[in-house]
Amino acid sequence: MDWNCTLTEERLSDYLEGQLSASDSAAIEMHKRSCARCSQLVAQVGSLLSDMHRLDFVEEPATLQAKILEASLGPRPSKQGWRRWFAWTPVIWQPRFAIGMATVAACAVIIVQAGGVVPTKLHKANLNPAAVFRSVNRQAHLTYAQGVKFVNGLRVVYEIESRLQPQNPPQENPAPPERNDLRPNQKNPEEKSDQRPGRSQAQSDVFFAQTEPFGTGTPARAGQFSLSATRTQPTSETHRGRNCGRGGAGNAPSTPCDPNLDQGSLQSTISGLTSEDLLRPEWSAP
Amino acid sequence: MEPDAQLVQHCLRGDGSAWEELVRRHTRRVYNLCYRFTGNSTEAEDLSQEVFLRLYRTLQSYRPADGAFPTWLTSVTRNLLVDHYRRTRHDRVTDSIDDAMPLLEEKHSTARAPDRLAQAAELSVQLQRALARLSPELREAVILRDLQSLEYAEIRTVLQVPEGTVKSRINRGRIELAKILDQMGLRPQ
Repeated sequence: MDWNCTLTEERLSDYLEGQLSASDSAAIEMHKRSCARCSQLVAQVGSLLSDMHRLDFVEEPATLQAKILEASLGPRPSKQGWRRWFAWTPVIWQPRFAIGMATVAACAVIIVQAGGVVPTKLHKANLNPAAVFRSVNRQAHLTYAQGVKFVNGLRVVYEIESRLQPQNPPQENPAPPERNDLRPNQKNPEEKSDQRPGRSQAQSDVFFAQTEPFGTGTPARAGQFSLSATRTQPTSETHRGRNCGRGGAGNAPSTPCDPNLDQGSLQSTISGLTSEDLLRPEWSAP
Repeated sequence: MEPDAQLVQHCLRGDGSAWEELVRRHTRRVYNLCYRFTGNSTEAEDLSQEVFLRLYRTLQSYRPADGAFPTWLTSVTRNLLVDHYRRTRHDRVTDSIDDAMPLLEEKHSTARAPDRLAQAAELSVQLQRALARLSPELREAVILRDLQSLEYAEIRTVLQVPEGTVKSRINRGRIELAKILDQMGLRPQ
């Protein structure tokens, strides 16, 4: 049978739904190759079918079901007795309500954690704005110091410092810093330094002293944290505008700043690092 | 989940909660059929309410042996749509200016990068415009097959015509729809 455009149109739906015999399908395929019009028509209708089958149902108006029920069953009686108190519960049995509440709860937990509040030990005095501010400030400093410590512990930072201070022999560990009673979980810094061959506590102190948490002008020191952001510390310009000076809260003498640390030498040191330096296991000897 | 036939039996015994469940299950399907046929959401809402009211009054006439409940519900809906169409035929403007004008922004939609939901919404609007330009017989056939996903046998029951006629209408409806969309400049060449 010679296949033509009329036949192609008549059997088009069967062809697209795979209900034609193999010979008829082959005939349409062959006709398509020689007829641009039918080839285009088959493509268009095929595309239209796939688009329509992908469409979801349109959502009905929110009040439609209620209107139908009221029209068929009459006005719905309000719940009586103790059930009246639970008439609002269907609202909470919706996914978006649950997701919203979960988000609010997660945010509240994060805020409470960041504020350093212990819910079981919360007293009215804790809600004093000054107390809240001190708590948040302290927690922020703790978090910052932990971050600095983590960065300082990275191998690449160690390599940079080693190259910047090649002439300084490893110093003996100084006296352990004063215990900070606000950080009961902090490990003894000596333990930390013991794990790092070739690196001294003094060098760690130097590094910590050079960091300025939150731009308060009060340098953070290993094991020492400023409790008050309003207390300013005397600073002295030592090198390139960096502020180095006393430690926090006047509890210990300040540590000297490293006059060799400047941006130019730092950048040249970074560029001089090789990939081998960066990939070396952190705790092995250099 | 309780079968529809059992829910109908409970409804006939006066169980209001069974009726509520039937309404909840089938409102969206009925609304979509009315909306796709009329192209008007307000009309579709009114017609959907009429469908369920008619269903509520004639529920005792449903026989499970005659077919599945959704098919019977679709028949009730379709009959009501036909009545509505005949009643409003003289009041209706069939070809609006919007449909006749080529829609340049949709024609160049491939130049944009809408997200999946926006694409689906745009397709839905385009399709609705094109459906409005089909004759009622072809329109209902395409809607029942391609948008309501009914089988040929079910469509034959709903339309009360032979299956060959059903297939012929669906085929012609699809080709006409593709040509209308092409004329509107909305299909890629």
